Amino acid sequence: MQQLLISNVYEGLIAKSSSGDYLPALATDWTVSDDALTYTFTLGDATFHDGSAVEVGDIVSSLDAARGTDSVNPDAKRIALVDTVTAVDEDTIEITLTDRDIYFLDTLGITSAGMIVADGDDTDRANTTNGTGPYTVAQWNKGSTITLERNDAYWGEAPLNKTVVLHYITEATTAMNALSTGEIDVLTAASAETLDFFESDDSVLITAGESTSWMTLGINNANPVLANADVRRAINMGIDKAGLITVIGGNAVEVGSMAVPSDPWYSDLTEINAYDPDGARELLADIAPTDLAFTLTVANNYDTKISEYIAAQLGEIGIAVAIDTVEFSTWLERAYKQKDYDLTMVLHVDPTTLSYYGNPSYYWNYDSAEAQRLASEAKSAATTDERDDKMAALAKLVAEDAASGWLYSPQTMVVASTDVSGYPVDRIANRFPVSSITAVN
Amino acid sequence: MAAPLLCVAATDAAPAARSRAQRLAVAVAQQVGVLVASLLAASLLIFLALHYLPGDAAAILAGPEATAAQVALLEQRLGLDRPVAVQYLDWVFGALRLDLGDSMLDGRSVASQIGEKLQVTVPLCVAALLISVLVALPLGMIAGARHRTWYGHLIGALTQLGVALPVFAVGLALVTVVAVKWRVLPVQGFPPDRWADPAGAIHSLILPTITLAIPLTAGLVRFVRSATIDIVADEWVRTARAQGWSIPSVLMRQGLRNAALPLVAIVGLELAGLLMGSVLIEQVFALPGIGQMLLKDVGNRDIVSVQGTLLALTSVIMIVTIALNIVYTLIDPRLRGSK
Repeated sequence: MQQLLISNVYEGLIAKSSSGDYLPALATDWTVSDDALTYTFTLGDATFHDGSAVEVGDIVSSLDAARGTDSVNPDAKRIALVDTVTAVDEDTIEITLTDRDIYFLDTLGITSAGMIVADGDDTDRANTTNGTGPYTVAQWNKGSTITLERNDAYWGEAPLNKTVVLHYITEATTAMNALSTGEIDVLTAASAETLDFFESDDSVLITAGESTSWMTLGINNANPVLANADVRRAINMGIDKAGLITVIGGNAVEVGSMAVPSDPWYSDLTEINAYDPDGARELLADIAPTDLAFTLTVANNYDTKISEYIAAQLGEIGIAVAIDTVEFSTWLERAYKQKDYDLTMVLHVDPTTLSYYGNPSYYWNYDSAEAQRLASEAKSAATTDERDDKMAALAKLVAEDAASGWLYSPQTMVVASTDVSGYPVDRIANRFPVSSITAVN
Repeated sequence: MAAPLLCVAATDAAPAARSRAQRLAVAVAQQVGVLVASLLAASLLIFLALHYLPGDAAAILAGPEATAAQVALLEQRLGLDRPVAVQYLDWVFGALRLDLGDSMLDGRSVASQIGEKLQVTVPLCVAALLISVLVALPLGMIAGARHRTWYGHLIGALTQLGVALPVFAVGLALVTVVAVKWRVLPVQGFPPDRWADPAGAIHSLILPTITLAIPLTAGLVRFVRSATIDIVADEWVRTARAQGWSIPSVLMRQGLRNAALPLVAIVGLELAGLLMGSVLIEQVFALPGIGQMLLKDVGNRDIVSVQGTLLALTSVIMIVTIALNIVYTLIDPRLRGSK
């Protein structure tokens, strides 16, 4: 839902292109002070869906609400470094930070915390929307379809289409059939079977989108046995990641840490703790107790092939793995919140997940002073280059430390009819802007 | 002398008639009493089961990045920090006013959501039930009356197959042929405007209805068939045949009434199974029905929504069961007389 509302229905002061550039949105222009603690935005002539103009007061009240102590905004933490939000004059807003935050423009542009609603707006947000974006939600059949209708009074560049209907289909086969009959035009996150089916079909186009997500083998670093980095290294060395990618049907990239090739801080780390079952057995041979047994707690929304593969691979290096499949909410409560697990498996989609290694209370229980220093220096970096250096160092550190296992980075496979173009393919797990989709004929 | 006699007769008849109506009223009142008690018990069971389910709605709602303080704040806003008894009573009294609360996730009214979803599930189940009864009655009677002929055997074998085939496979096969190859019906979904687009809505429901009706029909045919075989062997049928009636006309005139009672009972029992089947069907055809809603809400730990939906479904099934009980009393003179 959030993936659809941001930038289609609601907007922030700025926006971000799919290639990662910051673009003007509600603000036409902005400047950042030399100490990177003061951001000044110039407001444009945007309007809300109800026709009223966006004023500085709306910006102040929205950001204040998101960062307030009683905020339940899911991204509230990202905006926590904001010290003051002030309306300088009727089209200038000044935001000061208590500490430098290199991700601050991202927060304003692409997270819930940066979205702007009218001051004192009493719109019933459960059933209607009053954002500033190019679309309004015309119809929402929960669990089935969402119809986005063009906002004809949109203050910016008009969308290229009038109506976009998003279908929510859980069965891969059903989605595949719907695409082949033309009931839907674009299918995101296509399964391997679907790709095989359409491989030689000229009426559809398959695109591999860049993704910033990682299928992660979460290791509980607080577990007395797993606290030993050698055990974690052995686990990483025991898993043939290339083999796993074949098992899931391809369309994934091998990674050696929590970074993907499109990240500016990426370097190839796949050689660190690479697949070497003999080396893994040697590492384990020096460690007592000799009989290692762990439980792999997995939410039931992931393919069981993956967890079974991991269990089988670790079995070969002498680690017995029992798979405990639980419902997602049980996983969230038990593994994520209470950190009551040995091994787990999660698909992380936040592009900055790497920086979580600097948070010792995150569910990995990874407590490394060096990682914390690098993550905090990256966040308060003065320039993006400096941030990228710190992040690169952090990626290498956690890889060498085997803080987690990084099984693969799935590519987003988009299958679409050749009748349409302009649909987004890159980094669509967090945002899916639809305004440039057009019919070709 | 004639007049007083008539009078006596009249006064004699009146109490008898009244007491029969009274007996019926007592029977209905008893059933309604059972209904109320069962619903209360069901509501308590649903509430407690969900209350002690692992997983925390506030934590899911707050998102994985939320702080403990945020989660606590949400708990307070959702009223989850109140004593269990207060939460239960609040919910039950609300339900009596048909107010099932608002979804924890999106704030929409649960009752109106159920209303929307029932617009898909009820037509689906009712149509599937009607089709299967209409098909199963004649087919089952033919198969029973002529169970030694080749077509009697054929029907018997086909019903075996119909019962054994998984709903999933049948649905996908139908979609592949009718929707993907011939393109006469949609593969999935339901019109966004629902019944404001009646043609679209009906089109969307045809394949799901057939898929749901197939195993149901097969089961009913088997039931009608064996009931017919029993009836044909009955003595009164032999008597009727001796009087020159043909088997089909005996069955049509007498057999139908004899088979009606168990059939109504079976249909009543099938109702719960039908709702279960619709969960799967809605999943295969991406229909926004009550089953799909329930699955998703359970996954999201939207407890308010789940308990409301379960209560509504339980009520529907119980009310239909009680109504069927009352119908039995009306159509079966033996049940009426026994009280």
